[in-house]
Amino acid sequence: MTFPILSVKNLSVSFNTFEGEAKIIDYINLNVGEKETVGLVGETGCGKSVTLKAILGILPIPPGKVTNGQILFRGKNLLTLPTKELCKLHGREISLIPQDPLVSLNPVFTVKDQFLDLVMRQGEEHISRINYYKEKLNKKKTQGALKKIIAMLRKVQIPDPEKVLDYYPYQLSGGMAQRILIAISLIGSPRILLADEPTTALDVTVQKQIITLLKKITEDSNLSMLYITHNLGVTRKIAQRVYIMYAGQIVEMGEVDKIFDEPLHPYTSGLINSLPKLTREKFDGIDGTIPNYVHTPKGCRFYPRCSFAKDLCKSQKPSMIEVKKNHFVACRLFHKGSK
Amino acid sequence: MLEAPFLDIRNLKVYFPIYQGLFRKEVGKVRAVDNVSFNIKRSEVFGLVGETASGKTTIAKAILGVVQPTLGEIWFKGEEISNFNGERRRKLTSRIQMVHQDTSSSLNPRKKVMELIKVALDIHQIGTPIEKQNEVYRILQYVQLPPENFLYKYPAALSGGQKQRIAIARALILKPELLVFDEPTSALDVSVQAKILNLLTKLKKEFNLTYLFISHDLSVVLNMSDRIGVMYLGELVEVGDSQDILTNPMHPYTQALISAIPVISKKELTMLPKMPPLKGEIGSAINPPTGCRFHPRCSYAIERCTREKPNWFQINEKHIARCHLLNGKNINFK
Repeated sequence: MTFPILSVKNLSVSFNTFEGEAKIIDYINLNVGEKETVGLVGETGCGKSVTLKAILGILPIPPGKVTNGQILFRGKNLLTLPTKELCKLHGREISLIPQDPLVSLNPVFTVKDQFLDLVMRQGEEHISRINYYKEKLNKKKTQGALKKIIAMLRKVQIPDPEKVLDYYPYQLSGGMAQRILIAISLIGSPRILLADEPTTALDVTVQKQIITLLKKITEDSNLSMLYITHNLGVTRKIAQRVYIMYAGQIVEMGEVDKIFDEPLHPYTSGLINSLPKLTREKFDGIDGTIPNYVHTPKGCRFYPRCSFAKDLCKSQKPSMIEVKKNHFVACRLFHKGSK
Repeated sequence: MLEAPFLDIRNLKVYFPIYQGLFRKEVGKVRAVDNVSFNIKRSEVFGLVGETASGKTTIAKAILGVVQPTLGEIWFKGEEISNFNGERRRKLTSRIQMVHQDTSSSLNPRKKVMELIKVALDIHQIGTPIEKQNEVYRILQYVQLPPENFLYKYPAALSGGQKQRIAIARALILKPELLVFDEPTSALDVSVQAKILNLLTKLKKEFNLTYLFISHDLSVVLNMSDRIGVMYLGELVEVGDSQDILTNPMHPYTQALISAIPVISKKELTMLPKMPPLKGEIGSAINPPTGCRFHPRCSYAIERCTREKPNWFQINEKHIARCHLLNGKNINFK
């Protein structure tokens, strides 16, 4: 890992609910290095998207609140940054590829409109309506922006970009819409991409196209990427390092090959054993469900589902230990340098 | 005499007309399923796999009589069932049942588990009230949900996996012979998916069931089924033994589909055919491409593919595929 461009330190997020305080994110640490793609893997409800929202500063506060920690982006703490500064960072330094491509585009505007506003208005908080239309009707300014947009659409391999610009989102297929969203997120030439399950809504053949594209783009323009997904296979294809998340805690971290070939944490190995494999090996799921966040287990959050659980797991929270080089795990079964 | 196949689908076509204008003139057709034939043997699991909009669900609906086939025949145990209706269809539904894709929308949120499962017995007027209740108890145990805890819960109080188990129980209670699964695990997490798939395998053995298993996830279908049919844009392109399809895929689309599976272990990576991602996306079923429907995305396509529909080629006893290039030439990556 190179010097981290984004680092989340001891972040805790909780939500106020009718039943009480739900402690969703529990002291997580996460680093994304320069030119590095990092996977954040976990099942539904484990807090992946909440982490992402906290990084982007779009947590619904209240009911949510950040109870502890820092999110450092190139030295700046995003949690304490004023909104004005944050707006300047979004799109230009940090940008997002959302999950559901067809829902994320505004259905009543053409692709061109959505792009133009972004290119011409990025980072501005407010603009008067007169100035808005004045600039939009200024051919010289829009021509320049359009050229930039078409070049970007070519980069994400959209065939015939001039024609696509006049399409409404309903005319696009899922794969095309996702490519356009990738183009939108890249247009401000950001330093880091946050991808929130960008291929979940797509077919496998299209998923392969998008992954190949994202890989090429991050390599070509030296981008860092935090790739959030529940799909282990996709993570292996795209990421160099991976964090495994369970119930708001990071349980294991390391290089992709190491984690998927020799998983240490019982949850990670359970997850890998759950996948139906081409070798037709037996697969078995994990018993139970994720814990209730209001009454979380006191110790390790995985212990009620863990078949190796000891008494100590019940009462004491395990800390992250480096078991092998660059392979960290939060589990009482392991000691420094064991196995 | 040869035993008739359990379920035999012959040249099934399902077209949906598109109406437009004031007089609702028919302006076109969505060719959702076009000339599909396959058969399922008794106590076999047949997997149907393909991308979105390839017509998998429409086939399932045609078997259940939810949509009327435009042309073609569906034979179930020696009877032509595609034009069954009224009393005959009602009797048939107790023998063919379906488990739907999205359980959070297919279970009535205002009914309790007990009512949700019992309704099938009510419709078919099986047993006295007490017998019905006992039957619900029994079936819940089969799907590994303790009845005491679940009978009086609403679907909203259940997790995704539990809801799917209720849906399976509901299909099982009429003791069907054929079960149709339409993407039963696509909404579930992998750890829950594994549990449900293992349950299905267990139930199949216990009740001697026959499954039609529909999914877009090839790794799931490969593990679940004995035979597989690969669909593309309303047509079957390859049918064969599941192991054979995996190790020796013949149609370029099947090869692409297998190569796109996001696998996890090193051993699996070596099993995948190496090929670049497919061009473009699945076409429209309103104006499907002429000739072979896959030709616009196929990297092996020749001129003939654009005008002629390919014929079926027998690769071995159980394995057939439909591609012009198979005519004497092996297109496998060797």
